[in-house]
Amino acid sequence: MFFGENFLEFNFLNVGLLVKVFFLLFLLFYTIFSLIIFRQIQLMEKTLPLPLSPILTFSSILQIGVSLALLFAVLGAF
Amino acid sequence: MANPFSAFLMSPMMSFEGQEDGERVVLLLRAHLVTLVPALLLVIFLVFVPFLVPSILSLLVVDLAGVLTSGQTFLIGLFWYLLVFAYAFYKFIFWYFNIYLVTNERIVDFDFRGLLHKETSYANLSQIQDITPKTIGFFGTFFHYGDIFLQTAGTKPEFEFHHVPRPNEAVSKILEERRKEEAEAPGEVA
Repeated sequence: MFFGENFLEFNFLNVGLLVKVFFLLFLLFYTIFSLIIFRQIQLMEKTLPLPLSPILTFSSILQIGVSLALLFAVLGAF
Repeated sequence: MANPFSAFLMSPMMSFEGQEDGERVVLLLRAHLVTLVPALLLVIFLVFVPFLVPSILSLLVVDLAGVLTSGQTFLIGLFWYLLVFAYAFYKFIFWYFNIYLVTNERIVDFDFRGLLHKETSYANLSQIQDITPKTIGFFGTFFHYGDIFLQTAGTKPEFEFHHVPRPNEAVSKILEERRKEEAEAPGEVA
């Protein structure tokens, strides 16, 4: 069943590629989202300084850091 | 020290962009904390979803381990929690930065309507023509929060303060400040 084996292999590669593309796209959009959130918090903090603003800014930076770290990890891992 | 999560704060020690000399904030309002409960319940549900997925898939006779490697499954789980965190974080900052201020001179509405939509509206207290507090529904009545509708003579004809705690008390404070403002000489900031 030569054709069958090749077909299975092709399918497996396809799934692997699809998963990688999905991971990368997800992380790309997530990083953009994190950057927008960070910028929004910065702007709001400037407009209206509130007690929790520094914590929220820190959390948004952490979010960017995590998404970027995962993006590079996924790029390197597959 | 004032509670940072407070939705009704009299005379908070704070400033904002565009504040005039002598202008002070007399009332800070934001949506009642209880309005975050639906989002909180959804987040709790979403946190537990990954624990339910394997049992649902086994019922549907789908073998996830045959399609994805353990590393990929772990990453998908991680992404799920990133999404849940992003949703919770977004909901919180949306609530936290949607603020209504009453100063001794004007009302200020900071609207954080969406990811890319920020709006700030101002109206002088002397421009306020009509104020209507509304408490509607079971939760509004039970937790004592509601909407305040302010008709103004300014460029933005209507201000809406949504789901703010103690709407009647807030309206009394706004009316009191308006009376003081009307008693002042034109252009005086006090």
